[in-house]
Amino acid sequence: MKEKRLPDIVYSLVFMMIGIFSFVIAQGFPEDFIMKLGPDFYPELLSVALIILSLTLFIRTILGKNTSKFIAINIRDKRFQKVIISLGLAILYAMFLKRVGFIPITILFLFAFLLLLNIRKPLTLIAVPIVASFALWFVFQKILTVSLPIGLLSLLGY
Amino acid sequence: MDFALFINSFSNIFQFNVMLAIFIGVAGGIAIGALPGLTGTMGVALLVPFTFGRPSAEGLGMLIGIFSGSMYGGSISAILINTPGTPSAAATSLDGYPLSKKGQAGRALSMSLFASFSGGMIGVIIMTFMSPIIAKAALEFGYVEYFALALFGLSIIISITNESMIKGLISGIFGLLIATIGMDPTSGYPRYTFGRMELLSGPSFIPVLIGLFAVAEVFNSIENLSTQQKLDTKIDRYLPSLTDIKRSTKNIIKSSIIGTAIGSIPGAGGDIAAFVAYGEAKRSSKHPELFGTGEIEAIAAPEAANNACMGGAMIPLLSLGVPGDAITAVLLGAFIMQGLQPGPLLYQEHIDVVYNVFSSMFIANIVMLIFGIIGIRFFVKVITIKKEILFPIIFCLCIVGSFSMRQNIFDIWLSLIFGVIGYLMIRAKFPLSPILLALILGPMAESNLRRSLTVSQGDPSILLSRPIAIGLYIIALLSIISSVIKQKKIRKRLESQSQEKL
Repeated sequence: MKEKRLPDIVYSLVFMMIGIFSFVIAQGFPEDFIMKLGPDFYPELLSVALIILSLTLFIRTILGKNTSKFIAINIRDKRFQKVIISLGLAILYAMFLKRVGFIPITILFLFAFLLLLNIRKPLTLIAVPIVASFALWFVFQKILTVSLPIGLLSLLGY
Repeated sequence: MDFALFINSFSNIFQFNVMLAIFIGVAGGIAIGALPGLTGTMGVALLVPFTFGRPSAEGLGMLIGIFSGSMYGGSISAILINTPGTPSAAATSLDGYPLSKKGQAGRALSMSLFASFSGGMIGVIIMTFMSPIIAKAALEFGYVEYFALALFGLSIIISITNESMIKGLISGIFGLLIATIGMDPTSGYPRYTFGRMELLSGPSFIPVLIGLFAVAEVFNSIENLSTQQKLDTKIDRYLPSLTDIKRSTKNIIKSSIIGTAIGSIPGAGGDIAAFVAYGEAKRSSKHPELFGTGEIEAIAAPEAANNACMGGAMIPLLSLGVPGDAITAVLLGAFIMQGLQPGPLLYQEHIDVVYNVFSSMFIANIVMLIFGIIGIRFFVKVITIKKEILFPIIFCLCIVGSFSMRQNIFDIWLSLIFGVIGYLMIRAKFPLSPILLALILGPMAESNLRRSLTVSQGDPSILLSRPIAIGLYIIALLSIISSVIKQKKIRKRLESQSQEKL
């Protein structure tokens, strides 16, 4: 039972912190003498509401009145690890998109992601990233005229 | 409504680019709807970037196409593999899957298509007549009424929260706080921007949307990858038989009206409309005991209702600027990105756009019918696409989509951050739709609240000074009370079920 309660306690505390944090920052907003209600009024109102609500959730959970059920996060769970790795891949993708260029990094990203999701057929592993990257490039660059980062290809004088 | 304008708007739509946009939207919508795990909201979120920089008729036409297509698409997987592709198709699987087990998948699918088309059309017609009337009434609205309207829209947060009301409220307030990031609309003071230039105009809507509804969903699906279902059904017919149509006509008309009415209530979406219509069809049937075993009327009713719901949902969206659920909130966001603010003024300043929406919806329904007949064999194949291949590509689409609007890496980070927030919230059963509604309605609530209070020099009683506003507060209160009662019932049922299991 205790394990089930833990996540809601953590979440309510996190939201409470967000409420306190935004309230404190709003204190620093300038006052508005002409309009009476300055830029701080509304965020403060919301912060207080958030603090009260998360406190309620916290108390209800402690008292055992909260009936939600959870799948607790388990770091050793393989499937959860996949989520973390996929997030890591996305972070790398965002970091290197400008430098490496859209097409090469997308091919690499898709290849790694497919491997992560247990795709082992060589043809799929090669064809899907290449076809998908060029298709995305064509749609965004050529049809929607978004200028995607060129990156390394600029070295080739493209 | 103005007939000359209405006819005229068709000439705006019958242009190659606009028609192409609607075609792509409908096809994409059906495919996304048919894929279990990809909801219509995710589809619209992923496809919104494709409408950037296009003229409003094209962009909106495509989004409307996605919206209509996904409502029908959901029934394909509901009928064939007993997994509704979208929540709105859950009622369809009750009788659709039994029919398909009897080898009559074609009969079920063609009826679903026909009912979706008829329901969609009836919904659009009602919308075309009703929404200008409501918009006209709303022209009288002042700050106080608009604040009340925003509050009313926000009360939906509670009614669309299924499990825990308090979690829905926390999500909503969290969303309202996020909406305050950026320059304060009244004084111009930058709030919560931490010196980042990119945040001055607030967190961009599209990256946040993609983060919450697509990235988070991909993370969640990676964790819950299941083995693919095999499909060996043959589609034997593409059009419903005359006897089936005759049997279902009454139900289709009734369900379409139910669907439109439910759709027009903010907070009640296609899933509720479909179940109410199913219940009504069962109640009025001569053989209610056969429902659940593969009755053709039981497919017609929910499918007509969920497509009609779309026309209904457009009424408050266009005339008041209040979205009814997550998917209409996305649509509203897309309007705003096109520089159009839905609401009564839209009918004054951009009546051409309003009529373009009406006629796009007509055309989208017809396109859906055509695609459903000739493309069903292809859309059936979509169900068998391996998720392991699909998700990486969707992830790429998320990243490119967030990047493309302002061509800026910061927006990719934004969508990843919101993806993680969304994923963590899904895990703890905090609903995400309230955040979206709050992002849309937050600025409207704040600016009108502050203007009202400035006019009254800080006296809050001004908020109760207008009868329409009071009416809206009362409706908001009633919707909250009714959903609290509904949740209590659900909880009791869950408790009794778990006791039975013990």
